Amino acid sequence: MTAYRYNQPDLMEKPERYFYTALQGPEFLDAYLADRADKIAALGAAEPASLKLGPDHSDDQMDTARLLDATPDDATLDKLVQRFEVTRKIYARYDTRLRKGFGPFDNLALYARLARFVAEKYDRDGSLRDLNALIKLTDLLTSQSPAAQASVGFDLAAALTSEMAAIRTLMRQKGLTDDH
Amino acid sequence: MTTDLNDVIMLATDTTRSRAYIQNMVRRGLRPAAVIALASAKSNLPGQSKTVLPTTPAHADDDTLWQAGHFDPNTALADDLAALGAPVEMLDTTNINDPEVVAAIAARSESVMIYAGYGGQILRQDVLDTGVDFLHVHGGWVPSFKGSTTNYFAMIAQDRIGASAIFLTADLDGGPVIKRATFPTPPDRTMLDHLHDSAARAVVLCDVLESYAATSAWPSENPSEDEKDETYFVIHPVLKHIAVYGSGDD
Repeated sequence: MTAYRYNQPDLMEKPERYFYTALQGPEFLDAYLADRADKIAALGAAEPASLKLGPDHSDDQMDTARLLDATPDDATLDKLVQRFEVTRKIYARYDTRLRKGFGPFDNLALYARLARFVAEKYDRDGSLRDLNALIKLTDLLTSQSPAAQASVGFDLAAALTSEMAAIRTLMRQKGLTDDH
Repeated sequence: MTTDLNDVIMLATDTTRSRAYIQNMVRRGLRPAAVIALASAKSNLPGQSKTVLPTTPAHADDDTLWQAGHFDPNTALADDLAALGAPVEMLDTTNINDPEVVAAIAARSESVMIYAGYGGQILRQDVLDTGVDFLHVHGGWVPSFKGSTTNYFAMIAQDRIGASAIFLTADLDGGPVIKRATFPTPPDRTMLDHLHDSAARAVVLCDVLESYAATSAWPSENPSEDEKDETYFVIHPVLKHIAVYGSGDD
């Protein structure tokens, strides 16, 4: 039976680069959907959580939690997505042009909040670029321990639910059903 | 009959893309003035396959792209270079930014280099400053599909694939456009990584070289201002599976 392996082991410690990934047949999509459904079910109901804000560095650096605590504009989201795609990390702080990251990169709440915003942006724009980044973000999030996933449960559940709906819609449009 | 491209050299690597380029150039009678080849016996880099690949995709008779740009992905690079018949400078490195490579390129007098480097390597400024213009064929239609693995995204969005010849600049896939082409999504969608993507690039490369040989000028295209400029990152396997196993019909 085909297994979904792209959210193991811990992608925070060992990032996945996705180069030349092997084809596993259409059954792979079923394995992916089943894995994501399991992850959503395990989260259960979760309350929204506030991000823990860092100091306002003003001139030379921006606190990522502050960027994601409000609803960022699309340009900011695009830059954070670009940074995540290039480095597979979301840092605690960035320079004012959002090019160089600073500080720790293990705050799961930042990844989850970014994933939720990217999912909402995909719902608005339908850009495959965003959907591509979203799946990678949720791979990283669901590669963490169940307790860690639960700690960001509200954002993660919203991101996963939107992602699964988007993939199912895309599969239907392309003549693929999730019952191979 | 062979046309010698006296102002053009090639950078070749031990990849399926270099094999596609060389074999298509041989078939169409196009020969650069020289080749700088980067290869290392120990390498296992993007663009290389350590397993024997199918030499033909399924449904090849109905595959217009494969008919135009077919090649054998399993040849020895040395055999392909011998068939090309251009002088070869072989360097024991896989890194385009290696000082030895930079020096070798800078020592050449030709003005244009066909670039077929290993995947994922970005040319540093000292390479771009060697005085040579790097002719690169991107796997995708620019500027709408810049970046990585874009033909999978194009298969989902538009049910077609593309290739674009550009001169490289520090701006990723943002250099001047020489020539672009689109192709129908191949009947066998499973061989894009090592067969069809390289075949599409090879067809566009040879079209460009033939045009240059005929006119002594590089063709150029100006994308219209309303073409969307989008940069993609390596495709996630979920979307890759939808691109490959989906029907293409929305």
